[in-house]
Amino acid sequence: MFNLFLAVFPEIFIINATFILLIHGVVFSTSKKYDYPPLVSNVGWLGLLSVLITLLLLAAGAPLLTIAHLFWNNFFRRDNFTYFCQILLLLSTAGTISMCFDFFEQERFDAFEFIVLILLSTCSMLFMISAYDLIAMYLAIELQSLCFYVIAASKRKSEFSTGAGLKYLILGAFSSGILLFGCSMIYGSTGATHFDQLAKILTGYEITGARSSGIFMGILFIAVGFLFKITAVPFHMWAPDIYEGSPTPVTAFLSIAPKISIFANILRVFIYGSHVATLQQIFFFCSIASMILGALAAMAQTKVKRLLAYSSIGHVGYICIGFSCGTIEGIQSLLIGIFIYALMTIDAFAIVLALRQTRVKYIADLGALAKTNPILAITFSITMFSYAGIPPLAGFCSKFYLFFAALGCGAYFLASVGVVTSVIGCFYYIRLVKRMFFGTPRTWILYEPMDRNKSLLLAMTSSFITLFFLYPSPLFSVTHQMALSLYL
Amino acid sequence: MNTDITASAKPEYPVIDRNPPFTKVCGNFNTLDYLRFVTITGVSVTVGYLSGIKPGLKGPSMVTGGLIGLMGGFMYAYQNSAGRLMGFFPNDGEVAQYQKRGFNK
Repeated sequence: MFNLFLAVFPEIFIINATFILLIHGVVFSTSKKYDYPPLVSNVGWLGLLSVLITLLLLAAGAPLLTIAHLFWNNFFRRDNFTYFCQILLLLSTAGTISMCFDFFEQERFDAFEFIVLILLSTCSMLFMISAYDLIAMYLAIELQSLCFYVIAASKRKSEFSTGAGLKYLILGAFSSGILLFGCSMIYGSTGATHFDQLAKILTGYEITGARSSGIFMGILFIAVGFLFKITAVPFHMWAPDIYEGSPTPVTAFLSIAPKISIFANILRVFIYGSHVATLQQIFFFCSIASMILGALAAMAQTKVKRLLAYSSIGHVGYICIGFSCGTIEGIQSLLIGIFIYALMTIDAFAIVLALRQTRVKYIADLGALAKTNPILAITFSITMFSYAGIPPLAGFCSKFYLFFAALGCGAYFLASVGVVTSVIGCFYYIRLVKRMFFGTPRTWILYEPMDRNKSLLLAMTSSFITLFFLYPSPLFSVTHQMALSLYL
Repeated sequence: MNTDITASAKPEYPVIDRNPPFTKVCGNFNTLDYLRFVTITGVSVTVGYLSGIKPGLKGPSMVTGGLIGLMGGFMYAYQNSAGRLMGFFPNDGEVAQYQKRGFNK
């Protein structure tokens, strides 16, 4: 009986570690004996350790995690797709936590609950990625969302942070309601919530008649709920305000981790669970709209974080190209896109966090960064060029493969919109580079050296972005396996 | 509720015990498993101690780190031991040992 739980050892560990850290934080942060110590860094390091041990349990236990699949298959599925998405998620979480420590000190941020909530949301996202039933999926999404609402408002003395949390709560609850309504319509029409059963019912199903319209509306509402959560146009309105208002590490986490888990859910529900051509059109439209709006709206931005928020909306559009194709190459390109996007975003936000120490908030504040901190300026430039899709950086490889997949399935318009919006996007990315190398700052700022964690993280991610083109085949073969395991 | 232990991935190595009980898996810990257990616990205690220096919480932080490390280390060692018995990980040692005794005894 105990062996049944071997399949969920990583999740069990991270949940227990979260509770241990919560008890540790509550007991000692209110301890008069220890003079009410600030525990956020302490809990942060232990939290980072917990994430790394979870990663070890997941990575080392791969074939064993498929055990008792008939027992767990009611709610969760373990395959190559789950495995690699969870590893990417844990790496992103580890990267995000490691870039927070200096932020805690600089901003006098003393809420250890921040780390506890990050770990809890990570656990929920692990469940989300492996969810194989609408109910399991929804419960995991809600646990993740509730944690995010709170951490968005974690900087209690900041009105922006409180406002961001409130906006996220209202809009997130609204989108979760729509998602749940869609799930209930699917259940009402088919009597099934399990993806295996839905696949059998919906494969080749013609959308005609009242029951079909119930299924169609259900799938549409689920799609809308998901599109809300990945900040795809036209459900993106909340993203720039919340990304700008939240503390920067929270913005980094919100930009990366939920996109991995929600895209994994989208692929499970819509590739495996239902084969509906109409959905392809919805994602087609959202992809085009996200790319166009991401490119055009970012041009008008003056703040760095808002620019990165619109940039992430644009990237969601590019990644949705892979889904819109509906082919194995499309799914593979989507997975490559997410992987490279996650690393580029960790890189970008680590730099933004390093700059925030010196109160750099506006693009204009970046002036003459190349003179005061040339290495940071070069690293930021490489990241921006990668975002713009300039060869031979990793961003170019991901966009190339996405557009190639679109051309392969005959979506010529999608590919051409992608290329044009990439060119438009170059404007605001290269504007940052121009500002750093050729601009003069409004006031001369002394840039403080960044801490060791961030510099290590930047070194690893920048090296990947720069050198990926030399040896891309491991990522290509891994994502190909992931895509195949989704279809088989 | 189907509590069958069958995995969707096929074991690549000889299966000693398809569903070993808890005591058998713990009894099957080899030197490497104990080393993993001790290493993870040791690293966790060290991280706990070092991170507890600044807030002046070395002892309690060390204990918390130790708890996390004990749990993680034990789970890692258990996972490896069970995997060897179930045939998912290389298990030459177990095959030799159980061949002498006979399987499932």
